[in-house]
Amino acid sequence: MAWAGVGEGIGVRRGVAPAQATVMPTGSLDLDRRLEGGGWPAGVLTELRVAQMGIGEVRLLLPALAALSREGRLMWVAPPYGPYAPALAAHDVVLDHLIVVRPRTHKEALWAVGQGLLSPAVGAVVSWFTDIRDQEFRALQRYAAQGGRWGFCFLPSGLAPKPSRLRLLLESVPGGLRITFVRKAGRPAPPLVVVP
Amino acid sequence: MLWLAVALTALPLEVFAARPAPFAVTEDTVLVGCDAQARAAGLAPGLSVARACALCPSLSLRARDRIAEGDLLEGLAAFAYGFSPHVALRADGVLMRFTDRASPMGDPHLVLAHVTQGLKDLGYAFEIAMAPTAAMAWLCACSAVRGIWTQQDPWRRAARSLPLTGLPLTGEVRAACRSLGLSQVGDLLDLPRAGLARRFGQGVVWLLEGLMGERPEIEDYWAPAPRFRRRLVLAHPVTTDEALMFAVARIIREWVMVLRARASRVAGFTVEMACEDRVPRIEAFTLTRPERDGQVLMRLVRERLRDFRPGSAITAVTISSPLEAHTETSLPLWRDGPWREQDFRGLLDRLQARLGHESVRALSLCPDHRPERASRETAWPPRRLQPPSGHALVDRPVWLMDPPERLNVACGVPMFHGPLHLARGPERVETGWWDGSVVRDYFVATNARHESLWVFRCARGEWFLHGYFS
Repeated sequence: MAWAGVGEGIGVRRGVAPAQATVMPTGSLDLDRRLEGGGWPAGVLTELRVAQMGIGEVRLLLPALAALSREGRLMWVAPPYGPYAPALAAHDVVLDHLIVVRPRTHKEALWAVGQGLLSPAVGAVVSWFTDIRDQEFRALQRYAAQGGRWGFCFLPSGLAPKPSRLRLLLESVPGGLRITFVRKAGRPAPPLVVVP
Repeated sequence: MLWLAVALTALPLEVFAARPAPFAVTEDTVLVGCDAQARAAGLAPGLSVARACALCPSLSLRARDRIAEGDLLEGLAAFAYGFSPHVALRADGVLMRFTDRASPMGDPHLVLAHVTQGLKDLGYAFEIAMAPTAAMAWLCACSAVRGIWTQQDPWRRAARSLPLTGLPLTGEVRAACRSLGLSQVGDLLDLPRAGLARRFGQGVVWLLEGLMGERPEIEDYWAPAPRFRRRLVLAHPVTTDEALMFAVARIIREWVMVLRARASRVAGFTVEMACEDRVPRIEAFTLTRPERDGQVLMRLVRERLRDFRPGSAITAVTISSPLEAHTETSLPLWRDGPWREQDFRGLLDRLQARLGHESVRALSLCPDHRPERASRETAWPPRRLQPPSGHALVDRPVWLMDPPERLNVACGVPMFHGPLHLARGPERVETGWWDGSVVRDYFVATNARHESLWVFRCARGEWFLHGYFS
């Protein structure tokens, strides 16, 4: 169609395919292939379910976070332990661009995540919650869609399903990390074992 | 010369925020101001308190606050200073001097429109007038005659019909004028000056000459203060943050006007709340970037004072800040790099205002070989330390336990959710005598739950968990 050449985002006319969703490669080709669009989707609050900390769940995100930290800021809201600078620096995360927010209450944590998702200066918001209500999750998801940046939310695997658009279950198995695609856009994908 | 006069018609009332209606202000058992509802009940300034209360039993009364009135006039003068460098204060208003046509915007009527709009934004009840002499402009404003006269207008003729009530005459002169049947300025002007001087005193003649521009006027011009400080007394003490924000919003509106007039920005400010228990609550704000936008300032105060429960009713709010000249580099047209930096500063300010400075933290690398000191988490901003030289530390965990967690040992094998299997190591970390002499052997271990752990064995053979390879 002739309109397609006019300009990206302007030529909203019949016959023009919708713009490709922005994605950030995960650093693992197998995982990229299984995710719709080929990477972590922008404008989505990705729900990551882990049974216990320390199985390599952060290292799964680090390649994408490192790339995002180069152009924007990173916000970590309520991490369970102290992030260790040498490890992050070894994964090429720009430490000057990392804000660690330690809220005192659940309400403050929700607010901080919302502010981060809406700010154009922030590339990605990673948050840890022990519990979150459906409507709170929906509000954060809306902020993520509005801001168009990357949002990740770590939740314990025992919680009831949240109204997310992308939900991964992370489990440790001998020799790596098993990723189960519980909910995703596009075709269903079989589980995957990656070595983080 | 052209003078613009602004008289605040309800100054005694204006200093009280959130007035309950009907409301009146008293001084020496006499009313000096009352709001529209009290006026409708038949009250007027000059009435005694006893009569006023008899006429309107639900009337709320407050004693006149001269100090707050002075503060408000200072604010008004600072606002006027944005239009003219020559500002003179009166008891309940200000005068601004302009040259005939070289006023900042060329057209005197345009200046008038801007001042009027600004005063409306501030929310005051006011009268405004413009005339070629200060006394005339002030007389017009005080008599509520909307006289807008420049040199070209036949202002001398128009001024003749002004009433004498607005002139600063003594009681005796006023009474004498009344008995002689003199009620307008024109009546006085028609009388021979020599006789007028003999009967009423030379002062009255000088006053008239000043009024008509026949005698130079001498004014003490106002000098701007190096600080902004505005106190607002709350007519009803408040305990909730919503009611407080109403008063804060009003101060901030004025403040932004002053900032604009002085071409300055705010780098930091304090909000002081006077409480009934006489313990002032003080909140200090610092901004990462000097700011002039009222919305941004308002949002900062709102975030900090959200869910603020002082425990005692607040009776007055004061905002004070130094006024410093801050030039700003202009931002490019495209919302790119510098814009994003500005957005980031705003985000930081908001986070720090709501969560506190200590909750917004930065991570920095430290050139130290002891693992727990190689990473430092401090309040924002990040410290600029020299990065550690040499090899990249790949074999380091993402999470560090502080302090390390002691592990049980069974049959010589450390346990953490099952026996640990040491996958890699040992890596020897040693410190000298000056630091308590620490010798540790670090291992990367896995357990039955397939967690990847960073553990160490100290010299005494005890095992500790120091981190998660998350």
